[in-house]
Amino acid sequence: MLTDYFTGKGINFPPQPTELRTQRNTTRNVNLLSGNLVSNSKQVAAGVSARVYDHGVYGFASIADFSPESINLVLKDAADNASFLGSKAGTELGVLPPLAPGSNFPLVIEPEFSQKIMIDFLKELDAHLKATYPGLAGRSVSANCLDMEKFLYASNGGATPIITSHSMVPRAIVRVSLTVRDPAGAPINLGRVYGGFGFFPDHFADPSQLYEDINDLYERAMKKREGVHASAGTHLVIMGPDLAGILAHEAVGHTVESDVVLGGSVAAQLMNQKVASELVTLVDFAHTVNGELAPVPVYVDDDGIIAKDIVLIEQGILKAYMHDRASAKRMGYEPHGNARAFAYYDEPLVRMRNTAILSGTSKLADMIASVEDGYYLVRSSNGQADATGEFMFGIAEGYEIKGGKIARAIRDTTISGVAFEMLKSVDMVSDDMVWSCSGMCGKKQSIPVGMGGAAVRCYINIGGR
Amino acid sequence: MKYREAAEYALDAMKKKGAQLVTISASEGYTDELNAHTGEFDLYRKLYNSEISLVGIKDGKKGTATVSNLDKSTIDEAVDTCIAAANEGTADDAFAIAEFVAKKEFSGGVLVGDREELFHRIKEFMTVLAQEYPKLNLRQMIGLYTRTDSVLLNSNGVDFTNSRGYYTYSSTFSGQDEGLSTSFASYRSRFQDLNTPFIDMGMQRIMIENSLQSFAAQTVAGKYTGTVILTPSCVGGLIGSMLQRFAGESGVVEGTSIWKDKLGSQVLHPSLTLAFKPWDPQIVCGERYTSDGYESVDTTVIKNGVLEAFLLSLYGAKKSGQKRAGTLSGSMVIEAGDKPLNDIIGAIDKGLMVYRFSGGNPAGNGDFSGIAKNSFAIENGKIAGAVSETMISGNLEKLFQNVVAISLERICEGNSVLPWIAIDGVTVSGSKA
Repeated sequence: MLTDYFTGKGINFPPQPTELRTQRNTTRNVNLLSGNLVSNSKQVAAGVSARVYDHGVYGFASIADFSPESINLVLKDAADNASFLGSKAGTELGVLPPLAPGSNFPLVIEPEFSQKIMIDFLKELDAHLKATYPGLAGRSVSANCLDMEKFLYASNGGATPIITSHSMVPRAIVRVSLTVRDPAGAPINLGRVYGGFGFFPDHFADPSQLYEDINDLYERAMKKREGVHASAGTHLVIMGPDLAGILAHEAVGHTVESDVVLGGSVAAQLMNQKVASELVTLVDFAHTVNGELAPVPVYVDDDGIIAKDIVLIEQGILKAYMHDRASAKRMGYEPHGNARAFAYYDEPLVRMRNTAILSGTSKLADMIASVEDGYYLVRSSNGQADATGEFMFGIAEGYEIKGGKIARAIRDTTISGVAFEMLKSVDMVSDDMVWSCSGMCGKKQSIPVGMGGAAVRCYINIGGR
Repeated sequence: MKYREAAEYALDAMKKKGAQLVTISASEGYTDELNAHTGEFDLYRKLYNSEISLVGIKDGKKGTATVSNLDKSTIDEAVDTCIAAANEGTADDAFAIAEFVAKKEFSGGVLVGDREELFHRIKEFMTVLAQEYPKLNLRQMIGLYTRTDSVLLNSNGVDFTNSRGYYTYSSTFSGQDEGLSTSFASYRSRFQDLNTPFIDMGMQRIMIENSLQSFAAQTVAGKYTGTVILTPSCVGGLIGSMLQRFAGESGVVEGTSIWKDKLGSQVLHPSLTLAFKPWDPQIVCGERYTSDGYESVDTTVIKNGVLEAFLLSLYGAKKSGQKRAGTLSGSMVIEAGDKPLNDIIGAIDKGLMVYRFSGGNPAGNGDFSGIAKNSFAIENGKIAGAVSETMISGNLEKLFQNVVAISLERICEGNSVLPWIAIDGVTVSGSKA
């Protein structure tokens, strides 16, 4: 455990507000590609970083070592770096919002497990795929585990800790990807992801538990094999719950991150204005949703702020931005714990945690039945957003809706829109809610996020032929 | 331990633990990074970097372990992890390491960074923007110097070392005027001296001026099939996607790539010649040896439209029976064409100049669609207004078969040298189509 390395004795804390963070990210990857073990690796990125605030700027330093000498080195370098930058280009930002006293130890202890259980699980799963679906052109099964353990010591200045926090956020994912050939012989791919918060043995004791779902995946891949290109243009669509999660994150969430707001987001002009249908409420949860653990629980952020939920859009009205301490000070708001760093050598950035469009009252089946001619979009492959609110998602799985019924599958395509215009067209929200288990957000650093949502009915632009 | 000592120790420990074939890569160095947001400096980072990666093959089974700390106890743990992973793995005849070659030492770039001058260049850049482009919001500016010393040793006696240092900067910005915002745009470059002001780097000024001409961006009317010009940064992304899909290891090894039987065949337009050239003098601190343990060799992938190489590692080559690529560095160089950019634009009646493509992952057959970002309409041979909410779609293979012109001009961004490419037959659709 990281606390074994850090006793606080012999450590020379600078007089300025300081965060000292020791962190270990352990990543395991195993990948079987059509039966060949092409990846079998374990990576440990462990070290310490210090960040010191002085003259309205930050100095930061990191090193891959936990010795007292290294800890003192990064503390001194961080202070020197703040001094270097502050002396040349200090700002008038002044005193940051003070840290509230507290200690947090929501630690999950890592169970001992061998990489062999990941390999054996995947081999059995792969053998099942090979035996059950001999017509596959290709198959990939992979397991990825990322365990992030952090120990944070944060002060308002001086050697007395205001916040001490020790956390472990583990995530275990299995991906199954099937490749079939279309009638012309071209490869068609469809995949699905399983798992989420926890360690590999928590989720993956028996491969056969996935077989029924994988059979559904195979049937959908066979439908996609016969799929058609979507018709380019604006259409009435049902975005499934999985897709609504990425909508919450990409299309809306990024536009209300304070650094993006300060950098020119369209949301800068929209506080307390109507930005969506009154059916839309969007929340960034800290660690708990309806009494259950969120996919990426954050109890104390990497600025040392005790994390709280934040309602970003309430019944269609923009209510808040997400902040770190510096942007909260700059813009005059309270920080809710959105400063997060991926690795020991990364500085905290304003990030989402678990962002979701809350469920409504409609039944998904009724929503599909309500569309005479449109699309049911089920799963996304990737997404990007812009300061203007313009966003795009890759669509890996979708279907035509004809006469209120699911019709032919569509090939891979892309949807786009302008978030705050598209959200105003939402006129139905389903009564269920789904959290994705594998979201990663790229913004200088790539970091795990939770994305959740209910299905929504709206108008959106689809790329196609 | 220092990185070489750590690598030697790990190599010896792996062999003592029973690995017959071993490759060790270790590195050490530092990064100095200056950050500014919305035109103000706010962070200076110094990172002491280190890493050691162990690859062991034991009884035909392979394991990999990577750790960031180079002390003895951490490396001992990594050795045990790597050996355990190999023991638990699956034997495969394709697992191998590079053959012996004589020891080589490489060095490149600037080996001592100048943070004072780096600070000066960033400050100068922000001053120029404030004076010349007051409606530009510089969301983020990052300038950094990276020094890395690395070694690769293997149990066949391969011994490569490399010392390199270079600068990088990236800027992200948008136009801001009376509540209106334009799309984010960004520009980055790698370079080995601080002689050139950042504002004069590559396409930096063009990208800024484009941002400020985009306040009245509009979606295109309806849907049409026309000619698009892909700018250098857009060319790199789309060709990279295509090569990964059709010439990359997984598709070739699995046999799902539509190019798997096309080596030596015409796959793209005859005007296209592209290579990965880490030794090209325009490439800053290019790769000197591959992760497999071979000295990097410039590799032509497409020559006059003919597929000359797959992008295969040693494993992929042995698995597929094809030739290993001389480099997988991504230092892409595309041969210049024979027409000035202005002549290419002048020949287009209706089309788009696409500066950035933001799209979903292309399908296995290369079908793609996405938004044309930071882009402009071309009408009657001239650049017309900026566009928004405009999608382009097509097929990656057909896209680069339908090349109508490649520009004489090319842009070097440190890790690539790329031209503008005009392409026919692309579907363009507006949000009201």
